[in-house]
Amino acid sequence: MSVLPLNRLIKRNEATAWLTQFSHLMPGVKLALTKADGDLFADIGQWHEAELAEFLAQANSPLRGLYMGDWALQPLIVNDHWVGALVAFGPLNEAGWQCLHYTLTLFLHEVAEKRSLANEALERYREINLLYHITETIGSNLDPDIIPQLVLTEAVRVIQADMGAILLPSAENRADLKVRASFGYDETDEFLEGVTHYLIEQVYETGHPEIFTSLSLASSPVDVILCVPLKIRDHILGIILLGRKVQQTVFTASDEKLLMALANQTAIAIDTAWLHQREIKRQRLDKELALGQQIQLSLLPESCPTIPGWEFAAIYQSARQVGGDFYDFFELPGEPRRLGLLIADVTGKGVPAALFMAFSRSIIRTIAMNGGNPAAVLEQTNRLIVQDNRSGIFLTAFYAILELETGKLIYASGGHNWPLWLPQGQLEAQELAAEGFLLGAFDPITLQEQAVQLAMNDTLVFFTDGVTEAMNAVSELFGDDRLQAVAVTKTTDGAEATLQSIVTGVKQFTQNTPQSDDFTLFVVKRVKA
Amino acid sequence: MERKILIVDDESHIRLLIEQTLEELEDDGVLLFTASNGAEALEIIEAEKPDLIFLDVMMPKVNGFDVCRIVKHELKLQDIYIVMLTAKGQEFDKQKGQEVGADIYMTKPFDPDELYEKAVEILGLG
Repeated sequence: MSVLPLNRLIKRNEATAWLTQFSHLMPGVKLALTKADGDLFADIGQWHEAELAEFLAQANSPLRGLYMGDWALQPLIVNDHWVGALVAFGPLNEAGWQCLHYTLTLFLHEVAEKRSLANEALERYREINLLYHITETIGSNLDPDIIPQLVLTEAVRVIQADMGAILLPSAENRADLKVRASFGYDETDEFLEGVTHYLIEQVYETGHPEIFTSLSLASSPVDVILCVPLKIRDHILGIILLGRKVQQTVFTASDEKLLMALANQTAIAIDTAWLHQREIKRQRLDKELALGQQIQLSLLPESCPTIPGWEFAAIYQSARQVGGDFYDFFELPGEPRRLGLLIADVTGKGVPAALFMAFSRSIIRTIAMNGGNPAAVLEQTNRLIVQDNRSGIFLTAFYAILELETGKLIYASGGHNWPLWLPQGQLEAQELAAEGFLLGAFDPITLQEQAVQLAMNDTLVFFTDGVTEAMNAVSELFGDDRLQAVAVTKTTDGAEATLQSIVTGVKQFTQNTPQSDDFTLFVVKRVKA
Repeated sequence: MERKILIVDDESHIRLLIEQTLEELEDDGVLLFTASNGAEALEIIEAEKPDLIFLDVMMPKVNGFDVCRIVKHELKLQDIYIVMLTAKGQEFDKQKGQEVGADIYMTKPFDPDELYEKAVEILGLG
């Protein structure tokens, strides 16, 4: 039986005063209150220690009340706690003795009751303070790596545990629980192994708190475990786990309630922290994409060339996520008058892709200005890029040289979609086919070079895969066939009409499906000068 | 030397709670006294000269500030450490506390562990 010190229930002077009052009712009787260890606490009359010890020895085992006529002893037991004993010696009368220990026991019970209520209140105080403190601490913290340790430290202090851990997924939306805060154990303790591991999995799955009390049979370093979910709405984020070593101090429903309240605050804080991180990441990404797009747009021609005998129309629509398409028109030096036509698609997105695009565009322009033929220009471009490509970014490019007087077109493709050639009056488009490998990956490469002669009213359609791979709601691609079909319908109305026809065709096909890639297209038509 | 702590609060449950929080100190020979108003507190202070007082601010008639002022300025008992107790949400008048010579203040509902540790620290126990 556990011991409750007598002085917690009654003060020495109060006890003495009380014994004095009773002694008036029993003249000649000595009264004493002893503590649980047998020491004298309060007395009336002259007691000898030996005399007291003798009475106690007679009564102590087993603990029982004795009424012997000239002396009596009554153990004082309050709510299963051993408090001490009431002892009397002298000419006793039994009724008086009964009355004495009855009122004393009654009084002690009342005080004990008050104490337990006060303890309950103190417990609430602890809870309020814990929650107040924790809300203040973690509420202002937006670091999901720091919150668990702050919470665990408080939980272990207030709920009093020997070991503790907080487990959360390695990142949001992952299911692999990782220890994010730990207290009181190391690897060799195997705190989270065996039964505990099973318990964690169960709570993580069901979302119901668990108190586990029979771990002493297993190899667990703790005897009792309290495990509650970190839950926000119906979503279980993780687990808080506390363990105690001694079997007697099992976790109570009150401990569970408190830890749940704490877990709820924690879950909110972690959720907020994750949201915050997500938002920062999103903003950074948006900023980067916007910057990438800005670079990209600044590299595209401001307007199409105005050249007698030719019509040009171009469109570039960027996707939110992916960037990297570009096109270019530039007049080459020397005679006859020639125009370089370039369309390309850089892999990757954001700033790295945009910088790579700027780099590639400059190289192609520089080499092209030296007057080389398309295949040679792209092959040289490839060499320079491979030599300097540390970013693992590649590009596809189609480069053509148009003799403005004659309509002769020579071209080569570095793995790019072949443009369409729509000869006047024909209902079928032809591809400007030329074999070739994408640029920036291997060196050397050999590209095929081809040539065609454009007649009056012939039309060319240059595009990137953002056009043919435009997707509808059921993930079908727009495709080469549809492109050819819409491209040929408006050729008689000029370059701009052909361009619009294709744009409209793609729009009708994709409906409201969000565009997932850059959409780049330019149309060249030979017309009367 | 015997250490003495006086708990002053007009609310009996607060007295009881503080007493119960500090009762373990009795095992180290610390004596706990309680008073339910300022006048009673001053009587005990003069008679017992406690080392530490937990003193509620809001009490009828003689309030905590008055008691503190009398102790520190009139009775010149500068060595008595006075912890003012104030309700949470109630802005403690720090300037007034300083004027009357209060040593520190704590808010109610107090954290039992914190209160206990404070008492141990102030009395130099533990």
